Amino acid sequence: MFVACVGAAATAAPRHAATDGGSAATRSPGKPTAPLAIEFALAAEPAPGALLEISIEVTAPNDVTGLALDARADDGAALLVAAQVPVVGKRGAWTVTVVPLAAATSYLNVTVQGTLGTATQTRAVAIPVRAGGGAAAAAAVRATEAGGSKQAAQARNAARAAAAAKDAGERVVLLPAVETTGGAPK
Amino acid sequence: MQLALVFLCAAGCGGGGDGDDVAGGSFTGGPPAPAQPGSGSGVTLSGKVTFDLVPSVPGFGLDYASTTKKPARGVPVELRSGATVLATTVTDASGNYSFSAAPNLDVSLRVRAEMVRTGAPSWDFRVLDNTNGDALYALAGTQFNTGTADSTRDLNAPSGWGGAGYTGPRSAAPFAILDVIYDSVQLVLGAQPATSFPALRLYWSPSNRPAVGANGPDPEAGEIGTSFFANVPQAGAAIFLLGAANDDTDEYDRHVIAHEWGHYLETMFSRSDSIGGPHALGDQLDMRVAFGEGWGNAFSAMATARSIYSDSSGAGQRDAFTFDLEGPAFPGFVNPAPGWYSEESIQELLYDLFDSGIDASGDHSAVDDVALGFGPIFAVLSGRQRTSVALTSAFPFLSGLRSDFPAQAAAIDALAAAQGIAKSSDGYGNAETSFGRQETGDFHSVYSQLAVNGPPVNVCSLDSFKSGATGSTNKLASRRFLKLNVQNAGAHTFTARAVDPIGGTADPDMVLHRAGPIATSEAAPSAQCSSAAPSQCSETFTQTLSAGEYVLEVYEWSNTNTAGDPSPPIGRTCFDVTVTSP
Repeated sequence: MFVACVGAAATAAPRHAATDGGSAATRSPGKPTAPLAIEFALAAEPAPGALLEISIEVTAPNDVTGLALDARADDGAALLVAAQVPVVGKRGAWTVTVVPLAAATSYLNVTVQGTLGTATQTRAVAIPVRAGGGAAAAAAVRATEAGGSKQAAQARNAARAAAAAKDAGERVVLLPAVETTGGAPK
Repeated sequence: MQLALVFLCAAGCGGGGDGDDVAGGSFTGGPPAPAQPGSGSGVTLSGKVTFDLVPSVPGFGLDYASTTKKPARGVPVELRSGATVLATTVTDASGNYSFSAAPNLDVSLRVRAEMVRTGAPSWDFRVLDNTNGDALYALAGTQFNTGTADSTRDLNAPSGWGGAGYTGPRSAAPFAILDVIYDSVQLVLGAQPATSFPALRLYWSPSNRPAVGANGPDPEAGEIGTSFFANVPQAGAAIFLLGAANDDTDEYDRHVIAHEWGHYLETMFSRSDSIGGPHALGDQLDMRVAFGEGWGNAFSAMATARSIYSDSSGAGQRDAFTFDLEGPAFPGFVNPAPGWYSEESIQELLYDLFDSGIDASGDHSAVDDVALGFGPIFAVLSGRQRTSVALTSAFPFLSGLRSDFPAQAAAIDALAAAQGIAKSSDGYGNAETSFGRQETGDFHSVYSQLAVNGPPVNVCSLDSFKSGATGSTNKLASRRFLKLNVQNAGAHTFTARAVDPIGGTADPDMVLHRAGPIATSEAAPSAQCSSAAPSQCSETFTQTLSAGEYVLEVYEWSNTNTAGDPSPPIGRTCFDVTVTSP
């Protein structure tokens, strides 16, 4: 079982003895979020072509009503979402069944909504599905993503950056502009 | 902290160079004088740089149909001949630039996604791609010939939106981010015109998504978890921003950017003792977290001149998380636990102190007739709050504000009272009477008084205020505070010893503060420590101190963990705390 909790990273205090001075390093808790905590667990290690159940549980105060979940593949060519089923008798719990289509990292984009007062609030997370073996799969996708459709824009930027580095001696991502020309300014 | 250090080094310590600084340039005034690339008579090349601004609509998300072209202000424009930079100028407040160029020369324009200025004031803000070797974003024009007559050439950074999704490079994103920084800087300069802003790197990528791996965030892969600010010695200050389409993008969520920039401002010019951790509106938080997050939210409204916070997400960026700084935060829902531990209370209080609006009836802040503007608030934050021995919270801030503006003290106190915060005569909340929604006999003061060589002081670390959404770790009363006055300099020994029957093995830990942490003691409990022998569960450390005031933070370590941690919170755990000196 692979379990992860979104929104709680970097909170456990490290164990160490007394020290002079506190660390000057700081990190904000992150941007404000709706009162919706999202936890997920993968039923097995992801493998290309194999069904994979992902349990998603949303924790929210009782004041939050109408919990709803939307799960979609970030890249339909890399991940197939086969089913999304609420867990009977359990508030804010769903089972999403996916199929990794390649030995690479793909993402399940999850959006959760709930109503607080009279307004609907939303929180989004991305669940990484690393098919084909943990770090190796992650490295593989990074090595090959330049040719993937999902990262086409990034690949273009990377190619431009490489070219620019030769020109100017610094790494630059060149972005295209829409240019409008005219005659002498009035 | 260890994670943060690794994170920042992975993102910010490697990669390419920083590029050339662009000196001078003003955010205000008329069109810039033509930059001179060389000698001799030439032609004038001028124009305007704009970017597509997609509005983030509260309750709706991004409204692409209402996209407007907004001037890219205060950004450097390069006139280039191949790889050679012939001249550089900085766009004015309308996005205008102007060069005097040699005639009949093949050139191109490049707009760097940065704002850099030396002198007074000064700043250094750059937008980089953490998934591409920390490369600087730049808007690139095509090659053209300057000809023999003056000409204009406008450059627009498009959003890349194709009607149903992103179909092209998102050129506008870095400039949309800088536009919020521009407004934020202007707000500060209006109060303190010669401000020197420390360097800040803003990391954004279309691959930055709200995901983390088993080993934590991986910025090179774009798995940053969320948008956040971090400051690490040697690595510097950084803001990471989400950019993953159809999940969570933040380049057009101006409040999100301003919120994180508010943390940068607080860290660099004031002081934040916030311990971080998950939080949501409605939580009863450690007061340091409540103030820091309330400040970030309030600043986002001040800088954007919009009191309604909006953060888009979801498929097509068509969903949103929205709340109103004027309060109540969520329509139809009243804050169930207002007070000094509520970020919702803090954000409403700070924004009401700032704004000139009279809130709607039925709101907590119907008494709002204070309109201090930004200057006085920033003066207290960068003055009394920064040097306060008391931990950063509403109390030293309000105490400082009252001292600076005695004529408005009654109105300030009324605003605080509307948020359930009592008027205290010091920065320690000595008159506070509200201690959370859950009644507990173990928690009845913000600080306890500790005397050197005095009797033990009993304080209890609680897990009573854990949140239904964000759990434990950083909630009210999990960490307790004691103040002490050291009369004689020298070695002082602090001890926290468990005294009450407890639900598990106690593990007391301590942090000593004096306008920032000066000593941390987080040793593991001894082998003799058990729930049956709580007196064996103790923590001791010795520190040489000079005379003056200090704050000691004491907590049961497990109460700062999550429920899913191998050492989950054990709940109410009381300690006898002493400090001795020969």
